[in-house]
Amino acid sequence: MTDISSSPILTVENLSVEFGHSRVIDNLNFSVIAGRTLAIVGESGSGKSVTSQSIMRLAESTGASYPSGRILFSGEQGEIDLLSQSQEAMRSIRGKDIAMIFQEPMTSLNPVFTIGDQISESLSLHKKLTKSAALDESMKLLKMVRLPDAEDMLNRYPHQLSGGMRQRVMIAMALACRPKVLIADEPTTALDVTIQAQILTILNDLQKELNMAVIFITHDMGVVAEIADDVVVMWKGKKVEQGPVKELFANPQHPYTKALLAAVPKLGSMAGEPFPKRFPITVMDGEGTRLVGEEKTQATACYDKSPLLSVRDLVTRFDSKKAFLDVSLIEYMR
Amino acid sequence: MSANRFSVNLSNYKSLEFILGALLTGGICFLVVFSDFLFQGADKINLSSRLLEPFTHPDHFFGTDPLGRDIIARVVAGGKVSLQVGFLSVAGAVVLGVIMGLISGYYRGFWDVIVMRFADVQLAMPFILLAITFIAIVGGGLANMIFLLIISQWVQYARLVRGSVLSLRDREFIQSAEAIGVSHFNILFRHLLPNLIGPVIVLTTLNVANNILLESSLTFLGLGVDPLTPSWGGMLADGRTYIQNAWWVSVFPGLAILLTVLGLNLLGDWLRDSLDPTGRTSR
Repeated sequence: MTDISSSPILTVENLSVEFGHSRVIDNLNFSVIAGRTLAIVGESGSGKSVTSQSIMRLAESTGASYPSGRILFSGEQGEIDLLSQSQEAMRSIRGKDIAMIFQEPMTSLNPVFTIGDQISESLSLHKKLTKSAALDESMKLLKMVRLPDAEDMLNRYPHQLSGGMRQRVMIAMALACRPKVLIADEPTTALDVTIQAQILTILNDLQKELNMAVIFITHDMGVVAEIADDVVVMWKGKKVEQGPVKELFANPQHPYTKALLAAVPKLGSMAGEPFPKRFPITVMDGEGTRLVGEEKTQATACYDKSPLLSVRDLVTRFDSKKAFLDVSLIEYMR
Repeated sequence: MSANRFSVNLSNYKSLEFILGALLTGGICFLVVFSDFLFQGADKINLSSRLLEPFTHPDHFFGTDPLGRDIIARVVAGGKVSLQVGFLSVAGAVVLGVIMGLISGYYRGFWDVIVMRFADVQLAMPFILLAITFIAIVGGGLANMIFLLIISQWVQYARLVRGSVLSLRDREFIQSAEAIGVSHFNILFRHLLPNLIGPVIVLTTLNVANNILLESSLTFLGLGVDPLTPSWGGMLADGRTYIQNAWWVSVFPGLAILLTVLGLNLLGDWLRDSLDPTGRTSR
């Protein structure tokens, strides 16, 4: 709230999305302000990803239609309705003003191009940079997302990087043209928790640096608490609750929000329990909630019998001749 | 950074596949292109020296055929027709087939149905029947034959490419290319094409050999080039009658086909491996 530009940069008004005759999003309203993070939470199939793809206008290629609604974006040419733009016009907005990070870092990079090529593509496309200027800028971007030895990284292929590194490359790609809005579609779901924390910090820092609006799509309430300013809770294609993150966590109104929050395990709540425990799950039943299953202690392991599978003194070696030769060649060339 | 790239490239060209493939293909192409200077008198008939055995006469080192023509001169001269047919027909079919496959696989919908049903019809028609109909309408000759081969083979590439595009188009990296505003044209040719080029290269090298032989069967039926023009397939077919007492008449053109195809296959394998950054296929 410290920022003076409190007018929203992106506003979704009465958005409905249909695939054929089934309506997957019904009268959705929300807006994002520059420099702030809006989290959209909800279970699988609640329409989170369709919302983000509709903002990018990528959903149409899979058969979506928009019976009602507007998506207003205030860019350089004033306020425009993204839904009434041609695909041609959208192409110049995508990647430049609105960028997107995808869920699967393992498959979101083209396997036959180097990292440098992929980051510089967006730069040469929108900023019309030359090849070498784009590569220089890519290197800066890689440093910005804190990838070690960015120089080497430019010549690497995606399969040589780990998941966390690839997701950072994806972030670098998305940020290449300094977008005003960044849509992050579950960017940390496929990563392990320590990498998740790193990615979230990087996103947070870069958001402050570039004063971006971030739409963060997730189903992880822990991540929401960490990163979001405002939260929109979606359920079955409808917005059921919206509010600043603190209020929403302290005082959830809708039963679905309560159910979502109840599903998050609390650290320390199992202290003193000798065995893992199975808890009932809260599911939606009409407008209310219902508990399924019962609480029971999971104490079926027999520790006094001999183990079913044990591994002893296992050594696996791989032939690394090629790598050795390559390294020595590279050293020699230098 | 640049040193790294250089070392990778250098070791890339040091592979046996590349050296052998380039030598074979380059050597044969060189001989064929300069055949007029190297060996004269490919069509000189000399009935007094019919069916001379190879390695016995200094004038006709690889022997002579039933009409007394020098075998090696004819093999080298025959390469012109054979290589033209092999290369041009495959190149044309690849270009047409890949473009059709990319478009119908990527855009789906109406054009996909049209192109693929047309392809089904095409595949259902026997080649020789199509060839006879086609040649009967437009007439024989080298250009028409190449055209015929393109028409009958682009379908293979189109189906292969379409299949790969269908599995690749929904992958996330294509979506993410779309999300940074890459145009459809660039997605097709810069993002999809390099990902599916491997199997196309393999099919291409196999089809070159196939087409060299198809040329001979068309010529045999009287649908191809003038039978007096030497070509590998034609010589192979001519030599069949003499195979029991004059093996050299058909063996040398056969060897020429074999070496060309081997060279191309090696080059194709090398190309496929070096285009595949993960190196999955190189071991």
